[in-house]
Amino acid sequence: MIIHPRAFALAAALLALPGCGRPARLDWFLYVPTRVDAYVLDPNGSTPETTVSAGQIEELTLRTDDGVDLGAVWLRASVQPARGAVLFFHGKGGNLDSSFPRLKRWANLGYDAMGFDYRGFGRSSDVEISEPGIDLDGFAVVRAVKARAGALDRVFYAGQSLGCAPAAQRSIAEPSAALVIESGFASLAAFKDDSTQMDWPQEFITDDRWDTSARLRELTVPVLILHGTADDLIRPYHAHLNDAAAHDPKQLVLVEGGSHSDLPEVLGQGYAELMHGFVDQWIPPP
Amino acid sequence: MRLLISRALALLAAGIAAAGCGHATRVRPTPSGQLEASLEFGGPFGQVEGYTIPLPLATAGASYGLTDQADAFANVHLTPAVFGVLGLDAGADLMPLLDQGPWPALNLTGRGYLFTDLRAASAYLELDATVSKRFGGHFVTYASVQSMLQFGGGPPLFGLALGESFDLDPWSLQLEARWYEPGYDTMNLPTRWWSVGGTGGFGVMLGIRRRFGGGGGSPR
Repeated sequence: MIIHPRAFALAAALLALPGCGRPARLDWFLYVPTRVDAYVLDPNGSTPETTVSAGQIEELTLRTDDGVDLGAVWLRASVQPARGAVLFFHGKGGNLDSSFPRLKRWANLGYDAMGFDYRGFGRSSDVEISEPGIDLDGFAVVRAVKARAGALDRVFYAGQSLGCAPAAQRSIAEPSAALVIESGFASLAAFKDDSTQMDWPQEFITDDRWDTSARLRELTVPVLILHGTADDLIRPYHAHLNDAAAHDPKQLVLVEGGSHSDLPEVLGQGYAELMHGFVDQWIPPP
Repeated sequence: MRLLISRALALLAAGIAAAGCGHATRVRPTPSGQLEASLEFGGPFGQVEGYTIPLPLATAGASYGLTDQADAFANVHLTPAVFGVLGLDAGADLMPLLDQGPWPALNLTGRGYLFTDLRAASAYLELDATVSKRFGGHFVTYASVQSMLQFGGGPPLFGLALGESFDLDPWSLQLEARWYEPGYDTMNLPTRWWSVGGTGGFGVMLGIRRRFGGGGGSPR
């Protein structure tokens, strides 16, 4: 029988680490970066919604306050003046290239879009990834967004999957006009609760908490929560927790049949209507 | 997606390890005056990259027979130590009904758990009822209903177990199938538990025991 390397790594960690004298921490399981030397940032897509012109794309390198370089892209809206700008926080896997179709979709909806790779992802500096580190990343990226879009009252943050957590983190520190969280979990503790039903402290295994629900309780910006009813990675239970934590104005949209990463495709034209209907009411016209 | 799921599994597997559900059922009390050492392994099945494996939970412990129908025991949980978590449990067995004639024995087990990394802690109380019947001198077949109260705000947990113990004094080997949380919907979870009809998680436990002292053999 061939043992998969990742299964082997798990078993090895379980068996070997007691002898190392340092307790195992599993934060690194949260992040699945794909590293590259250069981005493709292909303007062409498989649909008109994910196709832009090369002239709209501006690749950037941003520097954080702790000296980390981040790969980023500023994608101008297909129609100018833009309706506003979105800062997108991608999920725990892949990199800027794999999230680029989503940015192109935003651009074709009329929003300037900023995307970036967290530290350790894509061509960002290959350093340890952590919740405090991503906080510094977000700060640097918001600075770049402000330089292009002006004040944050015409900017909204959007996150997908794990990206909802840093989007909420950023919203606490530097609130934007609105927050869109798609397929996000409520917290690592809630993630553990839902899967195990056990109440042991999440701190037993991770330093990062990514407590989006707690942050939503503090936030006063409008929040749009999207979740697929067939999400088999993060169940809709988390969307309900986040909805319960968020203050008005808020909107919860459960997408019938939607799974973890396909809500724009499942919603079709309804995705554009939903975004315009929610976001545009909180962003002043250009 | 495969990466995401396997990593989520690893995370949650570790979590369960840290809370320790790695015990085989206590079928009958250790005989009076005897000391029994035990090693127990296993847990619910989870899927990693297409391979279904039981979570590698492990405990080591000892029990002492107070009477032929009651004992006391304590265990240390080995897997949580990987995460810097100290896991201990202690409890007692009481067998109010003996294996006599057509009637099976009834064993009641109470067990308290404590897990701590010295910054945070969790505690649990487990109450089990187990019926068992000896066949052919060496084989004990058993079925058990298990419940666990959580003191950190979690819901009560339940389990069902069916197993066999093979006794060859002073050794015994125990193999058990367990259905964890049979009432809980485990579909569409990041961890691919091996569910039964979409609920709970199926697992196996293996126990190895050796008795020391006393008169040898079991009077039960």
